[in-house]
Amino acid sequence: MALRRIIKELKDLQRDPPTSCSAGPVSDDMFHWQATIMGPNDSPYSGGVFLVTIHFPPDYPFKPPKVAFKTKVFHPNINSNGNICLDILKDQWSPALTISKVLLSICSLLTDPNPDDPLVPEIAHMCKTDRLRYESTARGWTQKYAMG
Amino acid sequence: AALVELRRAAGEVAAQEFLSTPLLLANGESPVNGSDRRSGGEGGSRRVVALSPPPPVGIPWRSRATAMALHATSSRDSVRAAAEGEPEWAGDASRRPAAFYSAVFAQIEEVGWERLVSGKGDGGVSCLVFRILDDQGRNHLLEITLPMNYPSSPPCLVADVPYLPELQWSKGSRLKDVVCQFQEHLKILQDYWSIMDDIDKVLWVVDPTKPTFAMSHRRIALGDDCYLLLHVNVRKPRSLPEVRFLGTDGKLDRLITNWRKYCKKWSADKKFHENLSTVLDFALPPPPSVNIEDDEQVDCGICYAKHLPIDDELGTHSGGTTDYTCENPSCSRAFHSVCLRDWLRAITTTRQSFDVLFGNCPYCSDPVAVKITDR
Repeated sequence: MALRRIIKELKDLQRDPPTSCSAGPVSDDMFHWQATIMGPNDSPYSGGVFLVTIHFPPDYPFKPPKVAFKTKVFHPNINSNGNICLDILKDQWSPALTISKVLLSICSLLTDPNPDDPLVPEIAHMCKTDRLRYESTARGWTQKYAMG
Repeated sequence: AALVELRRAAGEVAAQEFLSTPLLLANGESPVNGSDRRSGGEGGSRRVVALSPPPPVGIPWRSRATAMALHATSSRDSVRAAAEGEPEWAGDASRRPAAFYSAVFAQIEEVGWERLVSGKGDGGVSCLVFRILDDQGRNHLLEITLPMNYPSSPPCLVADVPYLPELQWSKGSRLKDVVCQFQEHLKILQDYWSIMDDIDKVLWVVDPTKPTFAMSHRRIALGDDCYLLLHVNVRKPRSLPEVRFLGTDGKLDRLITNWRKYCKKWSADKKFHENLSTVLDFALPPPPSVNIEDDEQVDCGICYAKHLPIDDELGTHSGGTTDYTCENPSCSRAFHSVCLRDWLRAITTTRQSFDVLFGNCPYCSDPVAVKITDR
């Protein structure tokens, strides 16, 4: 069941790839994908290419996929391990969602961080109180880790 | 003796008229003409030819031969009538003059003999049918009936169009003018036919099954034995149509209410079927052939497959198609009940009552319910 849906999603992605994202299986294991997310233009992550890993659970799509950043990113909702605090990857998951939509939601999160539901409180605090410094630091991390 | 002389003179005048016909001189068809005059039987044969469909465009000389036959036959009839006894004299007066036929032939030539489909009555020229192509390649038959005092009186038109044009006619008008006005009329009707074609293509039209160009009504199926009887305004096809609702009352009440409430939303800028959907606030079903195709292609909203895997664990559902549809009309997502049940079991918000799981549609969050048991 899960494998058929994963294969279907892969075909859909290949037929109609979303802008600013790409994804596909790492090797022969269809349950382990790798994705790249282009930093949104209207964000301090602009110009960066962020690597993301995706693991599908055996009971997908009844449980959400596990998605994590491999590239370091300075963001209030993404920690140093690359874990992402995103509601649709946890309690708000639904079989109506797809990897394509998840990736687009992550892009959206990069553009509009949610400091009120922080995974990294220090960054969230900076994001709220010193926006310029947050953006400057984020841009610095992008140049350091997400380019070249 | 004087009477006899008068009859001979009439005959001679008719013959002379025939010989001096400009058509003859222009075509240079004297030998054929001679042959026609010599053989009455041959004339009869040509009369049959005259009523058959016109020859291909590439052989215009044959068209002219047909014209000659028609002309010769008519002329001979006229002469014969003149030659008969005195009682026929009055009858001869009611026949069309020879000049009528030569004028009509010349005018048919102007329109194009290849367009003439048939001619009948009064020597084959009192009722003419022409084939006219419109801008979209639709084939139209225009029937033109010439009254006895033509061209003083205008001809009568018959055609498969929702309404006929007002004919601009004067004594100097010709058949070519009629055809041109009809062609202009067809141009005006293009928008109307385009809209009707769109309706026939996009909506589920149950009647008429093979609409003619003149028909402006359509009976459209709305599902659940409800129908919409539609009359498009043929002069203002983009305006609000006349509608009548047919079928069971429950669903119709809502549609009728919506129609009255939202008919102001009708817009000349939008497609006809889009306007219908907007005013009715209802998703109109597509034609059944597409419906069947859609039905065959419906994937489960959860596993994204049409059929479940063939698996003994699934029992009677093994290899099955979707068997549950969300009841929200805006959603109508299809699921395998097995997939929906597995999803409802996977989340904490699901409620259970006896053997039924209650939850929310993964897509629209409206309530869904599915039995636990495999049967």
